[in-house]
Amino acid sequence: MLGVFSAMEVAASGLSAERTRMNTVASNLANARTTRTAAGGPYKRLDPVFEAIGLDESTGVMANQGGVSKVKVARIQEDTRQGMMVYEPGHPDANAQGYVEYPNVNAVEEMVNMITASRAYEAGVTTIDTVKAMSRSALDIGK
Amino acid sequence: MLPIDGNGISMLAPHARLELDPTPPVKEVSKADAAGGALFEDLLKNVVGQANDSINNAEAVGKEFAAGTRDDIHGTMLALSKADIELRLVGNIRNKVVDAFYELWRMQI
Amino acid sequence: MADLFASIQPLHAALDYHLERHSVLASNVAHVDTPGYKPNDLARVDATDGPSFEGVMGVVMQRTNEAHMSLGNEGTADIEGRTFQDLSAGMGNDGNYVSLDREAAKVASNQIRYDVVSAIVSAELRCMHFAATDAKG
Repeated sequence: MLGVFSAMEVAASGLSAERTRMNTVASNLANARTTRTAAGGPYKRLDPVFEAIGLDESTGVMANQGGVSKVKVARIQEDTRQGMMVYEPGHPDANAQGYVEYPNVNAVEEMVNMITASRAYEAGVTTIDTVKAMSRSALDIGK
Repeated sequence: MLPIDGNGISMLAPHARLELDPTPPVKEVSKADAAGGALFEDLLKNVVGQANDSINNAEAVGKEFAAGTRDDIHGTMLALSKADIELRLVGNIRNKVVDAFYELWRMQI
Repeated sequence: MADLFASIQPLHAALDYHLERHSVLASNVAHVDTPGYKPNDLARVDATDGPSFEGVMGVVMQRTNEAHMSLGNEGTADIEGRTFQDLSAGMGNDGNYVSLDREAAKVASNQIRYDVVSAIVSAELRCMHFAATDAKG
């Protein structure tokens, strides 16, 4: 039977996933003007990809558990869109035509992602608190 | 609370039907049984048996939860409450029966 | 008289376990920023390890002389023997495997279990108290 503890595990997986998203947002914002990376070329923004996995990670999402699933960060995807090309012939990273490719980070988009992640994190914490409150009131059954 | 037998006698006051013949009240209960009512003795055994089963079940369920094999919080608490109530019921029935017996005992003198 | 409280014994052991586990998890939370730290967790003492001498014979072994062999049943199992590392949260950039969310969820569930076992103990003792006070208390 799915109980309070599985609900907490699921919520905790959501919290971890949103925390990863926050990390990628922070990385994107910090590197918004990084034109040179170790791999060569400008910084490309990162996106976490979430997937649903079963409560017991080895068996997958089970129908007899109502499709209840945890969140897992499958991978962190690099966004390969081309960034903004700015004409700066004196820049050390300028190409042959004098254009510098800046990262494809859009600050507004990142802020929206950050707020979404923050709200989702709060929702997960509220879920866990509610689960705790429910079990506290179950303890009052005997009193 | 206790069921009335087929002759309309409350199980707690069998003396209400005492006639002038000197047979002790126990025989009255047997007569009531022959008419198709429940024997008080069996009734009490049932209640005590049920309470015992509930208490054993509650202990087992509590032990399972403590061992981590069971996750059901409200089910466990309900089983424990049920056992508690049944135990109190049996205890109070016993008290009432003993009190009734002593009342009878006094009356005979 | 010992058998009267036989049902309380596993509950007592469970309360001890949850309290110890709380300490272990609290230390994980304190080390959330320590580089290279691997979080610990506490395994339960397996009650199905087989019948004990005490259980079979109905007596408790005791050492009558210090020179005799140790019985191995002094106190509960040592906490170090039951600690294991839980690395399922994945490694962070500084080699730290602690996920604050996972540890917080573990602390919460541990606390809930402690509360429930404590309520179970109270309920059972209340039943016994009622019976012991001649079904009037």
